[in-house]
Amino acid sequence: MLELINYTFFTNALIATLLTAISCGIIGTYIVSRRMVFIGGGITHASFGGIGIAYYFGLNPLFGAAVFAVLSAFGINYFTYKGNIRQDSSIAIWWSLGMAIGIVFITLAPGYAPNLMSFLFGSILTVTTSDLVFMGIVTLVAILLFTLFFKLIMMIAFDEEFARTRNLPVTFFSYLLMMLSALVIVASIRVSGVILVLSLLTLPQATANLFTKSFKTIMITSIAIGLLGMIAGLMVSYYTNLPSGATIILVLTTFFGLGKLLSKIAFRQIS
Amino acid sequence: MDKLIDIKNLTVGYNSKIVLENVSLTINKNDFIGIIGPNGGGKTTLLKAILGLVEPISGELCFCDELKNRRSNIGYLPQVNKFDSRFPVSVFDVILSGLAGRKSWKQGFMKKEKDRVNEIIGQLGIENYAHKPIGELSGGQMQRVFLGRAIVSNPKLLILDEPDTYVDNQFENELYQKLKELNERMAILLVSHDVGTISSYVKSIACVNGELYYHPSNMITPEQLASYNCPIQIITHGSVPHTVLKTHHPHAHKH
Repeated sequence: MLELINYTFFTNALIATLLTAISCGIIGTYIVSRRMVFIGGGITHASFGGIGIAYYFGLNPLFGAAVFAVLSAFGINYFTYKGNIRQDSSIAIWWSLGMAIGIVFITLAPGYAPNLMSFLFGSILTVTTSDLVFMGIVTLVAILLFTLFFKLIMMIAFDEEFARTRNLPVTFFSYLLMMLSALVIVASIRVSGVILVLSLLTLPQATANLFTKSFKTIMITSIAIGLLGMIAGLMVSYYTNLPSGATIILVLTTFFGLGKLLSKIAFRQIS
Repeated sequence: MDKLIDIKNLTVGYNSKIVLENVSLTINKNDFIGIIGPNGGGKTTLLKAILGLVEPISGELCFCDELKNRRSNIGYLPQVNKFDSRFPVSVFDVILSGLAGRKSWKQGFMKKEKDRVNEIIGQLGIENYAHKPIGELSGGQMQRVFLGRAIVSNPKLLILDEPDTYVDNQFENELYQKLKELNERMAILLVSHDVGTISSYVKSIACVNGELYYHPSNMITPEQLASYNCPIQIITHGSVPHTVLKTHHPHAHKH
């Protein structure tokens, strides 16, 4: 197994795993706590539209995805604040619109689309250095923001209205975190693809939440769980020749199942 | 009397649908005003306008002397059913958040602030669950915690939106006792549908149903309620010292 480290593609994959575990651990906790998972789904699928357009024009697909993700995030947020459209309907519109645009443009693009599957289901072993730079920046921003403004972010997430009565910069931070969520999602598309990325934002958190009810501990624990699950999934996929993204999700789900079992036994012993 | 807030001809609505029209109300320093009215009559909207959560369409909302730095000097207890009780946050941190303000959000909280939170926890007698996640609390315990968050900053005005829902009688009595005590230090604005109970604690009553009728006493008859266009039921409670149903009463003013 150690000989794998000598391959650049594998070290790249390991770095990507680490960065994704940290950024998804942080942002996922925020998204899960605020019950914004469905919004995350909308952003993820909307970003596929950007991938399609970028692919058609021969640009970096992740760049297209980033633009679409941020736009749809703001779009959903804007509709929610203005209240003209119900939030779940607005999410569904962005969700399917993005997918439709993506499919149309990829079909229009000349020639065969070999990358399509990798964007839908992830391909961590083809991560490039420029992908890593993008992931690195996003992760750093997430760490900085959540270290410097932890209390404020938690307050806004818990009770936005009360935070407003305390004169806190609620709207600014809501949009900022929405944008960061969108970028984290895009950065994770390489690892698990558009369709599976949602689980990186929820499975580690749900597992951590079985054992702790503190925001900060959930955040730190889910980083560890995510990292462990992704490395284990990567190993399993290497030896079984199964797609890495899907294998990672299956490993993380197994972790959750084991965690559930463990917490049940632990609580039974207490009582 | 020292005025805290002067509301003049205020009209508030959402997306051009008017909820409150031409409302006027003065809140003075030692006031304890009970706000009653039917659902959808605009009680919560009035509170939100005062708190700056909705922008008025027209009219004046004037904050006097001590409330100049308005929002940090107002304590707010929202309706409890609006919270996500599974949110991963401890009782202590919820109360601490009541001290947050423009100045402090950058540097976080100091020891002085944490001491103040512990003081409130002691005052409310909630030491037993001060470090529990809020998801493990009962309705009454939850209300105590949110009352703590509302008063931890020692506000000049305390605004409560139906603090008596989802709680048992024992807590209700405790709550009103506590409010009576707090009223010596701060003005209180209390929204409730239990007119019978609040009337023995509040000093005056405001009926809100699209418009606002101010009743400068805590005793109100069903006839008066009807004339205020305030169709709510009065529930009488035998054990309550004052009864709401008094036959004779001084003139009610329409503000």
